Amino acid sequence: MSRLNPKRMLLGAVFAALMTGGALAQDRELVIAQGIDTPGFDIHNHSTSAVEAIHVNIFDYLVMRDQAGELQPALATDWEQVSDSAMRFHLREGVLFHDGTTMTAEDVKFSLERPALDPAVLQHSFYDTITEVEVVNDHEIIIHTDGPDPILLNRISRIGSGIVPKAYVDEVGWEGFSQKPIGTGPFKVVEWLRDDRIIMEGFDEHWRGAPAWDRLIHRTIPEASTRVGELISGGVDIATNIPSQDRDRVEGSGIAHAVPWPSFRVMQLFLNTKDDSPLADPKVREAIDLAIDNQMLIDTVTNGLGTPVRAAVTPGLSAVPMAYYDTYNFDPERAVQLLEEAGYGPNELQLKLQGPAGRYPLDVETLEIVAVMLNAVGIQTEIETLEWSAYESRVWTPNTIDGIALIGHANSLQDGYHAVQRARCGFEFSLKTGWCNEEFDKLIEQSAATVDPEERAQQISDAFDLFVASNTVLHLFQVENLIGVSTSVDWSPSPDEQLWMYDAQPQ
Amino acid sequence: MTNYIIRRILQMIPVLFGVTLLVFLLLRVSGDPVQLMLGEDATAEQVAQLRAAMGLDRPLHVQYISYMSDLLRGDFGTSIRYNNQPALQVVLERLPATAQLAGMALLVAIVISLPAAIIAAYWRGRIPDYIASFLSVLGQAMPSFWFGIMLILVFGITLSWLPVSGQDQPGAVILPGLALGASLAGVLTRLLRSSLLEVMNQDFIRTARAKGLHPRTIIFRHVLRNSILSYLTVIGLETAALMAGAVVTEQVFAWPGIGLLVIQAINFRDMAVVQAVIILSAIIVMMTSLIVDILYSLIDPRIQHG
Amino acid sequence: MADIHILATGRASSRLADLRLSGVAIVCIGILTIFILMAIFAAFIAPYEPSLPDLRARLAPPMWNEGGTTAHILGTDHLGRDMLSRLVYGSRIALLVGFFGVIVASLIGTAIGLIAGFVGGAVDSVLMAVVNTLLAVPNTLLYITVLAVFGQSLTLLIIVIGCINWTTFARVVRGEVLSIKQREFIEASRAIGQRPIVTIIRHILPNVLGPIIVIATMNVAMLIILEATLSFLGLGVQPPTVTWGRMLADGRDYVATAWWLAALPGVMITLLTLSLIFLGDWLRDRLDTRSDQ
Repeated sequence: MSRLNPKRMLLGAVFAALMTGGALAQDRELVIAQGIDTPGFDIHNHSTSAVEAIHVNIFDYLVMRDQAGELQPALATDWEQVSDSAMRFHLREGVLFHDGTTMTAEDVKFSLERPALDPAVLQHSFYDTITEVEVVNDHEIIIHTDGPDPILLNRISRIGSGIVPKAYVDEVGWEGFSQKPIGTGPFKVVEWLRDDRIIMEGFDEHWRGAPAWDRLIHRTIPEASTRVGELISGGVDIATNIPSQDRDRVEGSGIAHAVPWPSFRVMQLFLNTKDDSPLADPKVREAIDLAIDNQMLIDTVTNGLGTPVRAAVTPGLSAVPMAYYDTYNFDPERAVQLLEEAGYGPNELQLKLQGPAGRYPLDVETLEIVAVMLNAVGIQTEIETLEWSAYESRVWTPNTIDGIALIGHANSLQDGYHAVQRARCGFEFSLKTGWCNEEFDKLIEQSAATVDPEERAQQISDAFDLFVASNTVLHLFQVENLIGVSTSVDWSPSPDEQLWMYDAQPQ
Repeated sequence: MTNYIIRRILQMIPVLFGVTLLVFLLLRVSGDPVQLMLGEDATAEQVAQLRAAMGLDRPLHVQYISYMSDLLRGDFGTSIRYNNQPALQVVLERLPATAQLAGMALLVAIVISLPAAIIAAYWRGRIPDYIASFLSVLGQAMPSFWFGIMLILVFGITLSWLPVSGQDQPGAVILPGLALGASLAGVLTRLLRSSLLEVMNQDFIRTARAKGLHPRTIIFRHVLRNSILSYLTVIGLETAALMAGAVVTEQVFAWPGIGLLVIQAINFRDMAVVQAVIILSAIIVMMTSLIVDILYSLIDPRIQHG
Repeated sequence: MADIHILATGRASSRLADLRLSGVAIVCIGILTIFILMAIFAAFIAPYEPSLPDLRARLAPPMWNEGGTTAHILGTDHLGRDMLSRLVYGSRIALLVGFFGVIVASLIGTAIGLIAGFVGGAVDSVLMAVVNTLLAVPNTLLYITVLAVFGQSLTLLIIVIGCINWTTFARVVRGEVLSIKQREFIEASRAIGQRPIVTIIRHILPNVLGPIIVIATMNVAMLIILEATLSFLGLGVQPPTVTWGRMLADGRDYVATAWWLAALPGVMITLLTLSLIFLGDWLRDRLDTRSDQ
C-alpha cells in the first residue's frame, strides 16, 4: 500500500540513471519496518522477539495464540494429555509447505526434536523438558516430557517451535535453510537483502486460505526518526517503536495512527546484596524501592506510556499474581528514615547505577531519572551505561553488578513460572543479587510438577510474594511501545510483540 | 616503476599484519559474543558449552594463530550474527551499496567544490570568496548525522521530493549522498582554492598576466590544469575516508552498505565480520593510495621515486 | 602514501611575529574566548544544575517561543533540564575533549616523529609501519571499536584520541627532522663539537611549531565533531556529564517536535568548529612561508 508521491516520482525520474530497480507494484503490498533485521531463518538459533515477529508470518506452530492470547489450534487440530508426561496431538491434514510438499508427522518430529535434543542451538533451554516426539502415524504425534510439564503448550507456541520441512533441511542443511527458508505460513520468502529488506509473497495454498496481500515487505530502518519519516510520508505501512514524542506528529499526518502496544517486558533494577554491600541491609533496599516514584518515572521518561508494577506481571500472562500490577510504593520520607535507621545520614550512601545504552527505548534516561530520585532521599549515585554487548559481557553475564543494574525482561513462555524461576538459589537472578530463600525454591520446584492450574498458580503466587518482599529486584514498569499503523491498513497489535500480518486487511 | 610498485606492495604486508593483530586484540580482549547470542535467558552452563564449541575458550595466541592461518587461506571466518555465513561473503555483498553511496558523495563533492573553489580564487578576498569559504567550512563543521536528519526532514518529509530512506527507490541515493558528500565538498573546496591561489602566484602566471591574457583564460587554461593534480590526489585519498563516514550516513538513511553492517557487527560482537570489514577497508585505502601515486607519477614525470 | 595533511596545511615556519590580525581572526578568537570563559565559569553562569530535571517543565520552549518562560531562557529538554545550563556546562567537555585530546596526540606524535626521524633505520621503519597501520584503518571504525569494547569514559576517550590521532603530528615532525638532518649547519655544529641531537631539537622544534599549531587547531574542531558522532552511535561520555554531542544525539528524535533540543547544541558545535577552522586557516596563511617565495 505504499504510495509514491507524484513530486517524488518526477524528481526520481530525473535521476533514473541512479535507479537500482524498484518497479512499481500494482499489486497489494504491505510494508512493515523495524529497527532490526533477522539474523537469518534458523528459527532455533535466535532469541529475539522482534525477529520472531517476522518469522511468525513464514512458519506455523502446532498451537498459536490468538489476538486475546488464547491458545488456538494451528497445525495441530486438537490435543489431549495421555499421561503425566505425554501429550497427543492430531495434526491438520493437507497442509502444504511453500515448495508444494505436504506436511507430515515426520516434519513435526524433526522440527521439535532439534531444539529439544541439540544443546548447541540457542533455544534449547526452552525445550529441554521434551525427551522425544513420537510419530504415531502421518497425522498424529505424542510429545514425551521428562516429567509433568504444565507449560508444554506455552513452549510449543513461541520462538523455535515453527514446523519446517525435514526433506528440504536434509537437502540444503540448516545454513542453507537459514538463507532460503520454507515453511507453511501465509507468506513465503522470495528474497532477503541483509539489513535492507525481506521480500515475501502471499502463499495462495496456505491452509487458512490465501492472505489479503500479494507481497509483504519487511524493512530494516535502525534510526527511529527515519522510521517515523517513512511512516508519515507513506513509505511504510507499519513501523515499530515510534518514539512517544512523535505520537501527535504521526496522528497529525492524517495517514497513520500511533497505537499503544503494551508488551510483556518489564524494566527492573537488580540489587547486588553480596559481599558486604550496603544493599545487603533490607532497610536500604526498601528505602530505594520507596524512593522511586514509578509513575513519575513513566510520565517523565516515556511520556506516560507504561504501567507501574511491583513484579514482572502483565496482563495476558498465565499464573501471575495481578495484585502487583498497576501499583507501586513511593514514600520518600519513610525512605530517608529507613536510611537513617540503617546508619546512613544524608549523602553518606554512595551507589553505582549500571545499565545498557540503546538496548531499550530511553534506557539511559530511565537510569538518569532513577539517579535523581535516589539523590532526592540523600543517596549519592554514579551512572555507568555501556553499549549492550559490553554491558552483557562485562556486567550482566559475569554477575558483577557493582550496586544497582537495569535490565528489561520479557516473558516468551507467557507464564508466571518463567518470571520467577531464575531467582532460585544458584540460578541467574540469585547469582546477581545474592538472594537465596529455601522456602521460595521449594515453591518453585513444586509448581514445576503441579498439573492442576489453580494449585500451581497459588504456589507461584506465594513464590512471587517472597521474591517481591526481598526487594532484591525492584520492578519499575511494564514497557508500552507505540506502533505506527497506516490508515490504509486494518490491523491491531497483540502484546506478544508479534507482527502477524495474516490478520491485516486493506481498507 | 615496476620495482617501485613491487616495493610498495611488499610494504603493505607488515601493515596488513599490524591491522589484523590490532583488530584481533581489540575484539578478543573484551566482549563475548556467546552471551549475546543466547540472550538474557541463558544459563551459565549453556554459555560455557557454546564458548567451547566456538573455540573461544582457547588461549588468545592460539586463537590468533588459527585465525591468521585461516586468513591466509582466504577464510575470514563465519558470521555469528548471520547464521554462520562466510564473513567475507557477507561483507562483499555490501560493497556495491557503499560504493554507490560513496560514488554519489564524490560526485556531490566535485560538483560543489570545483565551481566554488574557482569562484573563490577568482574573486579572492571579495564577497564570493567569503561566501564560498564560509559554506565550505560549514560543510566540515556540521556533524553529518545531524545534516542527514535535516535533509530527511526537509526534502523527504516536508517537501516530499525524495525518498526518505532505503535503497530501492529511484533517487534514493541523493539525500545520503549529499549528507556524506558535504564534508568532502568543504575539504576539496578549501584545498583547491589554496592550490589555485598558489599557482596564480607563480612566475609563469604572472608572465601570462603581464602579457595581457584574459583572467578567465588564465584560470581555466593554466591555473586549473596545474592545480588539478593535487586535487585528484586528495579525491583519491578521501575516497577511503568516505568508507568510514558511511557508518553514520548509512545508519541514518537505512542504507544497506558496509557501514550499517559494521556497526551492527560491532554491537553483536560479530568479530569475523568486523575484522573482514577493517582488513578490507585497509586494503582499499592502501590500493587507492598506490593507484593515486602511480597515476601521479605518470601524469607528472617530475615526481621521482627514490 | 602522498601526504594529504602537508598538502592541506603547507610547510610553515614559526614566524609568529607575522601574526597580523584580520577581521575574521578577531571574531574567531572572540568566540573562542567566550567559550573558554563559559567553560571556566560554568558554575556561575548556569542558572540551574545541568542534570537536574524539572519534571513539571518538560520540553518547555525557549522564552521567545510561544509557551516559553523566563524561568528557562532557552527552554528545557525531554527530561525537563534547563537547556542554557546544559549548553554552558557542555562547553567544558567539548573543550576538554578537543584540547586534551590534541595535546596528548601532539605530544605522542612529536616524540615519535623525533625518534623516527633522528634514529632512522629499523626503528624508523617499525614506527612508520605503525603509522601506516593506523592510517590504513578508517579512524572512525577504530574509535567505535575501541570504545564499544572498553567502555566509555572521558579519560578513556581522551587517551584513545591521543593514541589514534598522533600519526599526522609524527609524520610532520619526522619529515622536518629528515630535511634538517641533511643541511650543512648540522655538519657545522658537529664540527664545533655540539651533539647533533641538541642541534636538531634546537632547530626542529621551532620549525615544526607552526605546522603543529595549525594541525592542532583543525584537530580540535574535528574532535568536537567526533564526540558528537560517537554520542550518536551511543558511545559518548557517560551521563550525567553533559556534552553537546549527547544533547545533539538525544535531540535528534525531537527535531520535528521540539526543535531547540537539537538545534541549540548543533549551533554551539558549529560555531565552535567554524571559528577553530577559520582560525586554523588564518594561522596557516600567516605562518606559511611559501607564498612569500
